[in-house]
Amino acid sequence: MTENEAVDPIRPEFPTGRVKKIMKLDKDIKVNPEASFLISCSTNLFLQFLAERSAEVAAEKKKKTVKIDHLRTAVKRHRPTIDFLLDSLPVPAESIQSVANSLSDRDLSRPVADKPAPPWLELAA
Amino acid sequence: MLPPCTVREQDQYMPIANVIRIMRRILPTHAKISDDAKETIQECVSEYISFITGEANERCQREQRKTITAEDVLWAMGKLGFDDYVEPLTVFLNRYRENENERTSLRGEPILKRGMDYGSSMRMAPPYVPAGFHVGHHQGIFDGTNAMGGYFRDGSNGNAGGGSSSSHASLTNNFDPFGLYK
Repeated sequence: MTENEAVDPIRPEFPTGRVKKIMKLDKDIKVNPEASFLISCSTNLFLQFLAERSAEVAAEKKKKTVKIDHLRTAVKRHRPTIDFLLDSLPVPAESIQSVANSLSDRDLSRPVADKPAPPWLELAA
Repeated sequence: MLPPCTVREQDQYMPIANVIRIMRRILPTHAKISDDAKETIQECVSEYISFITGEANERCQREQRKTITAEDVLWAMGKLGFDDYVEPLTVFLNRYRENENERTSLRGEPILKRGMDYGSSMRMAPPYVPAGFHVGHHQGIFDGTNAMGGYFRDGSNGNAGGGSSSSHASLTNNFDPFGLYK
């Protein structure tokens, strides 16, 4: 047995069994080893993509900590990813907060000077 | 038996340690990730797997086959907008196949690897993607020197060694029993 592990190019990033388990979550599918290998590789690529893009957003906002909001923005910038991921992301805390602000102890008949009311908030005419 | 569920059923996600490790290679050294972002990304990873698998499976069923193949996966990638991945995945697949051939024909016994989780004991594991492997999403750029120590755009063989395009691509650059191919 050669001591080649340091230079052996094939090494797992994700545990093979877990990849298969996740693939089978929704339905009882059969998958050959090559296919689950490719899924594992492509998932690795996708994760790196998400990390890279999220970090870019954080940097744009001059933040050192990557947060869900940065992840969300990164997702929104990539069409194929929006298609399956955007709805799965947690609802942004920020938008809940601004809704709460709009509804709090303000005279609703007077328009807010600095922040427009959300369009769905119909002010009494 | 599964231990009692605490908050999250971890079996449906990739181990968070793996996820974080891969992210750390990409992120700037000083960068942190919030805990909820880590968990959310962990979920995103599983969503992605389900997404691709679902599409590959549908194709499989349409063609009245029972088992998802590599070609189904590659096709799904292209269809779902991840066509940037098809080229590197093809390289990885060729390399995987070479390794399989090499392993079964030349070595004749399973390779023991430390700390690897095999679905079955004979399985080769997914490739190591070196640090700094960047995918030029939608920039259409695939720098061949990044991936797997270099690969050839024409995908004719996955030999990431010095540059041999010998048809005996099954010999990796660190295993050369014949000493003929340099």
